[in-house]
Amino acid sequence: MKNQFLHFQRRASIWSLLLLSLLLVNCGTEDVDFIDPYEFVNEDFNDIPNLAEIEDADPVIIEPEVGSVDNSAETQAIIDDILNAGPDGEISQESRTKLAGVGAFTADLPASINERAQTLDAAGIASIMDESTPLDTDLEELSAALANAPEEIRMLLPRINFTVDLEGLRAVTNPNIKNQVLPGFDGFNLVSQTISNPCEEAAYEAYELRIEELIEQADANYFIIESNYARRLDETDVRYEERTGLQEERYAESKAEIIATLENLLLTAQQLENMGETELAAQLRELTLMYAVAARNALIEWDILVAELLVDFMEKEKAQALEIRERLTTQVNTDFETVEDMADARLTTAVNNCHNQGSGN
Amino acid sequence: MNKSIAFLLLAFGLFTYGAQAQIKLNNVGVGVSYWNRSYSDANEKYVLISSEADGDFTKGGVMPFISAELNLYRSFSLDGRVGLWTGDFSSEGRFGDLTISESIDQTLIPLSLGLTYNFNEILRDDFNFLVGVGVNRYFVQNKVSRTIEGGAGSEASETFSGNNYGAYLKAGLEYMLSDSFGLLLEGRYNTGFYTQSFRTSLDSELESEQISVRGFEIGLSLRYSFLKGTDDDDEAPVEFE
Repeated sequence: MKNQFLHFQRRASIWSLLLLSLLLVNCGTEDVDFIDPYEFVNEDFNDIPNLAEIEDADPVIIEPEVGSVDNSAETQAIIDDILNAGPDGEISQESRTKLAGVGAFTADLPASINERAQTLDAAGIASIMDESTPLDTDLEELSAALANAPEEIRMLLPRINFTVDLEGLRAVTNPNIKNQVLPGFDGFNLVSQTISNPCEEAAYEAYELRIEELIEQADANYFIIESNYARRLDETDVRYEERTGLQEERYAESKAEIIATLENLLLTAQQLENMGETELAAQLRELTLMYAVAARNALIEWDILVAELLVDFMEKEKAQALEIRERLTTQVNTDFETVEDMADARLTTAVNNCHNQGSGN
Repeated sequence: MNKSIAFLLLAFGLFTYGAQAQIKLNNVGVGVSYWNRSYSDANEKYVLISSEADGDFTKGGVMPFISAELNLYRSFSLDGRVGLWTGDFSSEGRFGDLTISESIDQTLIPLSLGLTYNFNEILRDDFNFLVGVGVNRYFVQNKVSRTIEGGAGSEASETFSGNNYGAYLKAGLEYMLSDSFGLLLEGRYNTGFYTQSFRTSLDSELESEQISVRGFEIGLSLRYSFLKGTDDDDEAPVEFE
């Protein structure tokens, strides 16, 4: 009996240790699950105001006043006086006096100039008015003399009608667009921190969600500003091209009008010859030559001034577009920084609420 | 796991009587130890709200245990032990008007099986010394609850279980109170971890983190020895049937 009992105990002992061994090795490991995370809802950022859509109205475009090269009214009066007088008519004393002044002025010029004036014809006028052909020595000398001619002579010649824009042209300091620093978006300095728990994560998620909305609104404003800026630059270039084309048309019209006046002067001189007024005819031909040279000079100077004026207007308009872009970009940046500061402050508060609220064993 | 524990307790119940044979039961014991889990790895607080899972971690607790030792060959023996360690972890966080409290009531059962070398009767007849190494299997049961003050979302206690392996090293000094009873002072170092799975948000992927259980343990146990006063010649060899 005793042996049977001991035998049972031996077997029980062995099987117990075997069972203990089995518990150690009989199955694989198992992970420990956890309850579902708490679903945080953070509404701290909902009342941060949206960014208003930027108002970017186009500036008023003022066309440049380019002036003109006008025929001389006094010369036209002489032409009218002579042509209206008829073969037996009287020429006014005023016209005679003016032509006498021309004669006195040319008397001091080289004889070759007077000779050129007496042989001047339509082909000669066309040659002088061709700005691509340089003036010869005689005409250069005449041109220099005209620059210092007395007022009563200059009143008989075509002249530039200076506008305020043209007068002020040289006083303008053109903005140097190339050297300007363009405003830009360097990216927002968003809060970036290490998230250490679900509460903070919820706060950051709500923060980032609101900030993303605000960034989208800012981006939409930037898009308006940038697209308007690009459009205005394009429009400025187009306007410059259109104005340049118009100036070419104006130049051609003015030149044609002056050539017509010059041809009228030649006809009027011929009329004086027919009337027996040989001296007046010679003086009128001298005036015609002076008129042609003065007209050529005036047209060239005017065209250069207008070209400068058009470039000046183009640069001013581009500078204006740039100023609008810079001002509005700064406004959007400032508006965003304001709401971003609000969001940052609320994030800090939310995260602080998550922190240091007690944890541990 | 509860079924396993029941089997285990039943098995140790059958150990209460010793026997000697070719494979002899050296002793059985009952005792208590203090297991101090201490490390800087992730701990239970990692998954709790407002937790601060980094930094040094220390969590100690008194652990009752029972043990048995089976002689294998001369001074080598097979050592088995099962303990019961409990700990509470809690954390509280604020979120707007909400106060969120989460807690874990943890039950950790280390089941150990290892090899022991006994130095009997060192210095004096009534002192034995032992060293050992072995495998731990940690059975973990977490009762998790969440309380929301100021809003909805509270969750009643929910229990999650898991297990994993580890290892231990041990050394002990036993003072024999009599021929059969000895008082063992034993130190252990436990290693290992279990894997905690969790989600950071409702729509996120399941993540996992290894929660360490490392730490020193020191315990005192009363052991009953079957070696003294037993006549080996009377015992028949153990028969495996």
